[in-house]
Amino acid sequence: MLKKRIIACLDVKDGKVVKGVKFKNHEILGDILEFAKAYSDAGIDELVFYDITASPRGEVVDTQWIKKLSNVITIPFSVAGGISTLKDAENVLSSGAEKISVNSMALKNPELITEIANRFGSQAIVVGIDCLKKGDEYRVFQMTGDPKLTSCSGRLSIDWAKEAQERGAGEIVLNCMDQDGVRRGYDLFHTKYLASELTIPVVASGGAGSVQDFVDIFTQSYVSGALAASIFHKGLVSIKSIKESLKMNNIPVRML
Amino acid sequence: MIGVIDTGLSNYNSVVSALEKIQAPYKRVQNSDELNNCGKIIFPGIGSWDQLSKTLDKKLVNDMKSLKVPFLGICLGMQFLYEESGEGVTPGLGVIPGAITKLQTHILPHMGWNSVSLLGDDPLLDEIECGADFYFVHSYADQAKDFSIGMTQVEDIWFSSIVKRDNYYGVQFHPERSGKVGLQLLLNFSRLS
Repeated sequence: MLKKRIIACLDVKDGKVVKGVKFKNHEILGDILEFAKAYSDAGIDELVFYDITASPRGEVVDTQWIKKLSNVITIPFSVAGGISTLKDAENVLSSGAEKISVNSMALKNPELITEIANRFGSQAIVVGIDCLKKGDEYRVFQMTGDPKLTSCSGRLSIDWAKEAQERGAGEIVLNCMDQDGVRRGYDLFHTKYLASELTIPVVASGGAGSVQDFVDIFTQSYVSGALAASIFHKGLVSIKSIKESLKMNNIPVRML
Repeated sequence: MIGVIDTGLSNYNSVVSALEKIQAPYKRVQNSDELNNCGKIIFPGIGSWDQLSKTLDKKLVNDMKSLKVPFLGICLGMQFLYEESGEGVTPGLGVIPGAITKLQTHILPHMGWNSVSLLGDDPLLDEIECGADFYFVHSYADQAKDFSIGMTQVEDIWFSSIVKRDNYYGVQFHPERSGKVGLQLLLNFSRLS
């Protein structure tokens, strides 16, 4: 049976793992390779490295650390941040990443999703969506790595998710920004809705603060995975305890 | 010496990193001549079927059909062992009869860790528990299961996750990204004679 995935996201800034609250005030947490190894040993199912410096600055992800990372870990990982051309995608994938994740660059140029899917297959392309509730609707925001550049794209998150799926995206990571870094739980309402409307895997992101939040998202929605950052980095809950609780709730998980 | 076929599109680097971890000697293979002196061959693959066909050297494809040494196709590299695929129009190696077809599941791609039920014993499966989880990421699979030595279920569909015919093996998952159990499988492959 296919297991539900617990995914740790490591925000990378200038080659270090950082974490901010509500995408602001980033603090340095430590070295990329050490974090990756520790998570892998603790039983994480997948890792996402989000280079938050690359996209707002118009830079491409540096592939040196991706190659080093690929040599160290034996679990899948994806890389996000600043991938704006087919060539960027190829550089990151050939350096050892399983998947690349696009966000602001895909909003700017949706054809990028189609091109990457055609060339490398849908399984290699993840679309990250940062959304915020405005009135009764969830709108997509772009350039969220830098508060000064962050803006609303005007699109509804459900419309954008469906377009991404149509264009060949293999997965959606839905980050509800209101919840991000504040640890009050995933946005169950919107995540449940989006996951029920799509036929590609959806990963919930933003807001995990307790073991119960993981149980809630998997028992109340059809998501394939749940992503978190700060609760893992700060050691607030262990991956093992999350998986044990999920197992007790009949959610299939991979145990080491 | 394990020859690892590098198509330029593939996850060549992740596969050779895994071989370094189990200390198995390897060399890069990009054309037919480089197949010589390889005691075993690994054919990793990601991407789409027709892109793979376009990228591969024609003579290399031809020579891959008649190898006598143990051969391991990974993911798209496994699918390429078959005659054809619903994903593309060009023929595969055809060393395993049958066709690769699209999984008719509600959620696609099939992405994540899934268990493999082992059928019988084979030296490739030494020290691997029946039901062990491996990492999958694909949308097409062998659903005829005529040459399965490992099977996996997604939603209500079963497909071949490990196949064997003569000296040709294929795994639908990524052993190089499946933690310790994946390294065990690669180690077993490196010890085949």
